[in-house]
Parts: sequence; C-alpha cells; structure tokens
Amino acid sequence: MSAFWFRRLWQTVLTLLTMLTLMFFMFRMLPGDPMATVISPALYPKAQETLRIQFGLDKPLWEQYFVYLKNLAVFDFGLSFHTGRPVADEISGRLLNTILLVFPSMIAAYGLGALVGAIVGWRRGSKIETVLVFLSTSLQSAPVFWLSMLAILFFSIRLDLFPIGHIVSPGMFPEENWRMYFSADFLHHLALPFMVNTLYQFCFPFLLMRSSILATVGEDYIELAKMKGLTDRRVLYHHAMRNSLLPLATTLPMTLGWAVAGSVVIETVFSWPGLGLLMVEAVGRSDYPVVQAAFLLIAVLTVAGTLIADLLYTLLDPRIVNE
Amino acid sequence: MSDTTSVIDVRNLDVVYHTANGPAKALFNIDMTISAGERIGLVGESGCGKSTLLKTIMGVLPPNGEVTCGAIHLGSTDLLKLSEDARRKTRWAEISMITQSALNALNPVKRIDAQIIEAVRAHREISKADGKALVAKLFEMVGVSPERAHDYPHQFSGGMRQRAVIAMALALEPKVIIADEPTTALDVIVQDQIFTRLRALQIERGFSMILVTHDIALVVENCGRICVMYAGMIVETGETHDIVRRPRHPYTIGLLNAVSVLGSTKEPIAIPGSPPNLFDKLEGCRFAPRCPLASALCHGQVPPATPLDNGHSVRCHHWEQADEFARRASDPNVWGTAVQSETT
Ligand SMILES: Nc1ncnc2c1ncn2[C@@H]1O[C@H](COP(=O)(O)OP(=O)(O)O)[C@@H](O)[C@H]1O
Ligand SMILES: [Mg+2]
Repeated sequence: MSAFWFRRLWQTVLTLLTMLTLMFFMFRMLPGDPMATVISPALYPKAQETLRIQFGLDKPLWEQYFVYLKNLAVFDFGLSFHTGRPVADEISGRLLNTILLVFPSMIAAYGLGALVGAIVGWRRGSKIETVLVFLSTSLQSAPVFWLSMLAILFFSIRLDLFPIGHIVSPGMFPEENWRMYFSADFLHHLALPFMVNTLYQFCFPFLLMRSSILATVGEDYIELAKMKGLTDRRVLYHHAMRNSLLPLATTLPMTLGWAVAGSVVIETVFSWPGLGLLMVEAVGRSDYPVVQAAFLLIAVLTVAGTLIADLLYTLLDPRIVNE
Repeated sequence: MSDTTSVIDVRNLDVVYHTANGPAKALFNIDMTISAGERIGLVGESGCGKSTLLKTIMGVLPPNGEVTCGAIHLGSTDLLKLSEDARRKTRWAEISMITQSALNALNPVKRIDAQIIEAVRAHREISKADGKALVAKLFEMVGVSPERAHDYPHQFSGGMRQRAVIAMALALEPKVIIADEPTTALDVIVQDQIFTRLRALQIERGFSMILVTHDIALVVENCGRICVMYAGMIVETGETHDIVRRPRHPYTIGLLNAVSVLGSTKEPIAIPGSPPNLFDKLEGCRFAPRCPLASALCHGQVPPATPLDNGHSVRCHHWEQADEFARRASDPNVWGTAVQSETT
C-alpha cells in the first residue's frame, strides 16, 4: 500500500472522529432537554436524580464523551426512547433500504450522465443537445419532492403502473426478512423512487460531462489520437471521455453527500423505510439516540462514498498516486 | 499531375476558417511538392498558417476550417476526395506527425507503450508480444531506454516525451513524417540532440520529412529545400543553399537578416510591422504593407509564382531587384521607412 493510501485512510479516520465529536457536542448544546421525554419533569426530584445517574448524566461531559466513543466502537448506539429496543437493531434494516435506493440510482445516473454527456458534447451543436441541456438545467433546479409527487400522481395514480409507496406490499412479508429484497414485489416498489432519483441525479453528471468533453476536444492529445488514424468512436471513448471523467470523479463525493441527504425527502414522499424516513420519524418523536445514530450513519455513508470516489480517481488518473 | 518521385503534391490549396467575425483566409493558393526521401523546411512567422497547412494535409482541420479549393495528392490519390474512413486509414500509416506541443500530445492517463501500440492497431493486427518488441525497437531508435516504455507521460522529461512521440511517428514506417515545431518547448541542447537523431533516422529510414518552424536557422541546418510562408501564402521556395545565397523575396531576405550569424558582427534585425489581418480583403501581395520595395502594382495584384532556375520559385513583382535590395537590407532604416510610409 502506497503512502498515498496510508495518508488517505488516516484522513478518513480523522474526518470521522471530528464528525463524531461535533455531533456529540452539537446534540448536547441544542436548546431543550432531550431527557425531558424520558425523565418526566413531573417525577419527584429524587427519582429524576436517580434516573440521571443511571443514564450517566451526572458525570462530567468529557467522561460522557469517552463512554460514547467506547460504545460506538462496539456499535452500541444506546436504546431507542420510543421502542426501547437497541438503536443498532432499529437502524440496520433501514440503512440497507437507503443504500438499495441511493447507490443503484447513483450508479445509473452517473453511467448514463457520463455517456450521454460525452456523446452530446462530442457532436457539438445538435438539436438533442439543446433539448437535453434545457431539460437538465430545469430538472436540476426543481425540488425533488415536487418531482416525486408528480411521478406518483402520473405513474401511480393516473396510469396505475407502480405502487404509491412503501418497500413491499402490506402483508407480503410480515417478518421483513432478507427474502423480500429478492422479490418482484420489492423491485416493483423500488422502480418509481429509483427512476425519480436517477433522473434527478442524472442532470449534474450529464451537464458536467458535456462541458468537460467540450474542454477536452481541443486538447493536443485528442488531435494526435485522430491523426493516429483511430476511429472517431475510439477517440471519443478511449481518449476524450476517459479524461473527461476526472471532474466527475472529483465531484462524486459531493453529489453522493447530496444524494444521501436528499434521500430524506424521497423516502418521505415514497414512504420508503430508509434511514432518512427513520430520521424524520425520530425527530418527530424526540427520539434522540435514533436521530443521532441516523445522522452518524449518513455521515459515514458520505465519507465512505468519498473514499470510493478517491479510489476511482486514482484508477482514472495515474498522476495522483505516482506523485 | 505529379512526377514519379513526388510523395505529396499540394496544388492550389485554399483554406478558410469560419469565425464569428467572418471568414479568415488562412491559406491561399498553396503549391508544395514533397519528394521521396527529402527533408523540406517550412518557415514563417507564427500565425502564417503552417499548422493549418499541416492539419489540412493530415485531414484534422478543426470543424470551422474548410478547404475551399485545391487538391492534395498522395501518390496518385487525392486525399481530399477520399471517404472519411479511407482517409482515416491513410493517417499515420502514410503520413505521421510530430506535433507542435509534444508535451501535451501524449494522453496523460495512458501508458506510453499502449498509446504507440494503439496507433499500430488502428491499421493492422499485432500480437501483444510483437507490439512489445516493436515498442522496444522504436524506443531504441529514438534513444530512450525500452524499460521506460510502460511509464506514464508525466514520468518522462520534456525531451523524452518528444522522443516518445517521434517513436510513435515511426511506428508504421510512413512515407512522410511531418514535424511541426517539434522542439519549441525544449532547451537548446535537447533540441540539438533531437534534430541530430531525427536527421540520422531520416537518412537511415529514407522517409520524407517536412520540418516546420519559425526559426529559419533550424531549416538551413536540417533541410535540403525551403518553403517560405507569409500570411497564408508560400512566397518563395527552392534549394536551401540557393535561397540562403541568393534570396529573391524581400520577406525571405528579412527573415535571413533576422538570424544572427555566429561569429559575424551583423546585428539581427526584425522586420517591423505585423502580418495582415486574415479577415481583411487582402488584395495584392500580402507582404506589400511591410515591404520596402512595394509599388502600386504590389498593392493591386497578387504576384504570380515565378519559376527561376533549379526549382527556385518566387512570388514577388520585384524579384529582379532582390540582389540590390539584399545588399542594403542589413540597414534597419531600410525596413523602417516601409512601415512609416504605410502608416502615413
Ligand atoms: N480554429 C481556428 N479558427 C479560426 N482561426 C484560426 C483557427 N486556427 C488557426 N486560426 C488562425 O489561422 C492563422 C494560422 O494559424 P496557424 O496555422 O496555427 O499558424 P502557425 O502554425 O503558422 O503559427 C492564424 O491567424 C490563426 O489565428
Ligand atoms: Mg503552428
């Protein structure tokens, strides 16, 4: 493993640690007493005090912080205020649902966006280019909840092609086990939010790839590639597109962050039982341990995405690791 | 149309760039013949259309460039009449090019050997082992250790990258290699090494070479024949020693004047003024506004290419005064007056 990856890994650990710390203190600085939902102010002061000691809230903040870190290390996020079950159990299924919704549509959006953007940029000035650029810029500035609702209105209600929400039909999988992810019913439910998310996420890589190709077309190595007698397609796919992918890889962590955060909205509209929806529900119930854990996981997903993007980048550009 | 020894024969070529400001007449009435095994130099100030001419020959003009008339014969086929696919097949296999900025000519994200083999594969099948052997042979020819062939461009120095591009240009043993200002980005010592190597390779392999540069001294050193270009026209062409000894075009005289000859006390002088705007109407001789010999005739009528002896040809109404002019051309005042009279 090169020094580059060592440094990169170390940075990731540092980022995560900073995030954990910020999150710990942020939640404790929020106005209002989170414990109010658990320790009723109506209790005797003595009983309140006992409960505080049980929760370890009598200890100094820094000690609480280390307990928190120690627990995180063994994936102990505490108990949900709402259900009383361990947060880790509550959240793990939800995490998978979010990943299944966000990552495939990101991959589809980036794959399509890069390909279509490259072709459209390469054949500069086509009618399709004008139309697609107009549509993407409009789509990009449309709120995603509005898009989702339009899609539901049209495809689910008007055409009755897709279910309105949820991850499987009610009663199909009472136990919610892994089997449901392999059912046609699940795919049927996934289809519409997947398409909306893909469409929405498509705009950014498409527009970026198009302008990136336009900047690459004038490069000397493209001219040389043409002079070598390569076919037009080969010049596009092996030279122009290959190099134009670099800005896409650089911005991937950012858009991945948006996508994961944006899943809160899509999940809410589609009643998709993912991390985002869980977070919305938990906020409504002041279920602090769940909110905090969901926050944390969203952050971890984003950081992991960044690491993947970096891996991609080094695969794409040999100059990074070698320097 | 072309005699037996000519490899490339450019006839009456006009190229226009379409721009937002209207058409720029980048090439006008270009005639140029490259014979088998010769080294020919193309000189002229930057912006005079050298790269445009080469790109037209290679068939890689940018989308806004248009050939409005003329023919480019490679052997007996007119390249301009070929289908895109037939044209593609002639590229690199028949004519290859060492580009102006070899530093950026290699794709930064691909290994150098892969980029060379890719050029070969575009024209014929080659096995992995043969490809590797070929690259090793080419690297030896240009003087880079074959072990470095699997590197990325950024791991190479400027001179090495230039050599790698030369290796690439040699890969398919083309009839003609074009070198467009191949060493402008390199220091003088590396430049010298590269030219020595190129000359040796040319003699050994027997390809024809077009060397393009704004530095007439380089051409004088390396080429048997010279084409002098000015504002999209070839104003004088001939054997190098004829042109150096007896230039017939005032512009050529000016160019030679601008070169400091080692050991001589002659001060180099630049020609005052600048080339015409290609968007303008451009009547008459394009050099007339800067020419001390210019007369009313020059401003009104394009001078025809006048053939002299030994393949020497000049486009100047007053070429007969050239000898007399050459004697006083080393006096900067001679040039100054022309520009002054233009501005008044
Ligand atoms: N794509 C283009 N569009 C418009 N004008 C161009 C284009 N490429 C070159 N030119 C113009 O054509 C002229 C010749 O350029 P070029 O062939 O590059 O000259 P040289 O190689 O001798 O320096 C210049 O005036 C340049 O500005
Ligand atoms: Mg040039």
